[in-house]
Amino acid sequence: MNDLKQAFSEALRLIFSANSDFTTTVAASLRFSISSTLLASALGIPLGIALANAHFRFKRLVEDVLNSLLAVPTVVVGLFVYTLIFSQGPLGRFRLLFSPTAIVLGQTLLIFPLIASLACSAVSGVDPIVRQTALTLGAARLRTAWTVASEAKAALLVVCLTAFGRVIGEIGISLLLGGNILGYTRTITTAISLQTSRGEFALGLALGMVLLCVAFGINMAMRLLRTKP
Amino acid sequence: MSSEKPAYSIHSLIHSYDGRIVLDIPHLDIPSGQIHLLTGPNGSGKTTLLSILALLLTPVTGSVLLDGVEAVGRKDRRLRRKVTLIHQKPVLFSMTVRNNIGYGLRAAGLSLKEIDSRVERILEKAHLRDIAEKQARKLSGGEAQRVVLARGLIMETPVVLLDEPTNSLDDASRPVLCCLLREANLRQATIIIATHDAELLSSPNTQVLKMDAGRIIE
Repeated sequence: MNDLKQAFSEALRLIFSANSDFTTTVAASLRFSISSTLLASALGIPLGIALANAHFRFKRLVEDVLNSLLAVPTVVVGLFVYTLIFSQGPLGRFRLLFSPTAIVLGQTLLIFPLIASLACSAVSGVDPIVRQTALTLGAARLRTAWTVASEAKAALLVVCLTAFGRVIGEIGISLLLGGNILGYTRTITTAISLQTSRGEFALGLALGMVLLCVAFGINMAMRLLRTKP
Repeated sequence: MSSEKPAYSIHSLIHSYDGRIVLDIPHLDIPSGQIHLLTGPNGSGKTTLLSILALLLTPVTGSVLLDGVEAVGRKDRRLRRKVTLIHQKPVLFSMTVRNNIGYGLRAAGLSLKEIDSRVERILEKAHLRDIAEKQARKLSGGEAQRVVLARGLIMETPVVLLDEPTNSLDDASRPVLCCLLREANLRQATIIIATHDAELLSSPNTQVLKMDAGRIIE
């Protein structure tokens, strides 16, 4: 019990003293997660919007494939990207393994289907009369799609926050593709894993508190967005 | 008043949902330049007919000529821009009243000057000037319905379709609706209104089409 108390007080000290290992790890985690969320959103949201507005024969199949990809474990995505970028892989010549780019690439791949699928659901949830109204006012397909997506703005932001929450808490990709290099590719989750295996709980607890705060912040933001008229 | 060519010429029109026939019109010509009231009980097929006339719904079989051009299955914007449908439910986009009203004109690629001048004119006529910069989602039901009407009528299309326009309208807004519709009629627009209110816009220029169980009965 005393050890736990001591670990907590040490964790708080690390947070408030802005310990350099702590801050660089948190900063790297945020950088990778924000980058991958932005990248995956830039690709996934247009796909989701297009899918919601499109009517083609295999639409349901595409949606099912996207939904199935949501269940893929992070370590499998990490392994897949690893086979692409390791020295003998098809992209090996770019020397991406154990670099921040590799982590961002893997995380983008992880949340891309999540964003596309949720964006499709968000846009499909807009009252169909909005689309009909835009069409009867003479809007072209692109303008109509944009108008419908604008009505789902808040829901699309919630999609981005959900994806951010997924990547900031993942470990499989960061560990496999980043290599847990301090000050370079070490993230909150890989640092927690390492510190725990060493029996040093203070830094792990401090980082865990950051993750909890991020999760809390995301939930607050989502609640605000959902209640916005 | 009416010109030679009908606004719509309908032949052998049948539409069904889940095998149940909801619309069956062997032949109907709708003269242009007039006001037509489409009356009938709920479920008589008025909204379905308006959706087909607005090119939003493709009937199971039949032909609909819009200004002499086959409209069934057509999705081109040039044909669609001849018709405006104002829905029963006042759905507004998440933007200001002014931007909502100018939406169709922007989609049509009109110049900013032209859009501004037309929007200003209709804001005045629809008594919306005071709320022009207000977010459309914050309007009362009556205000929202007036914005929807202004947004549709500003397009000055040859055909205007209205689905139960008086449903969300307060008493103060009713004369505004009548005034805007009469003005549209003065520029020879064909106006088709699905309504329970047979007294709406009653004039010698008003035709009444009664519907029941998907058929035109009178």
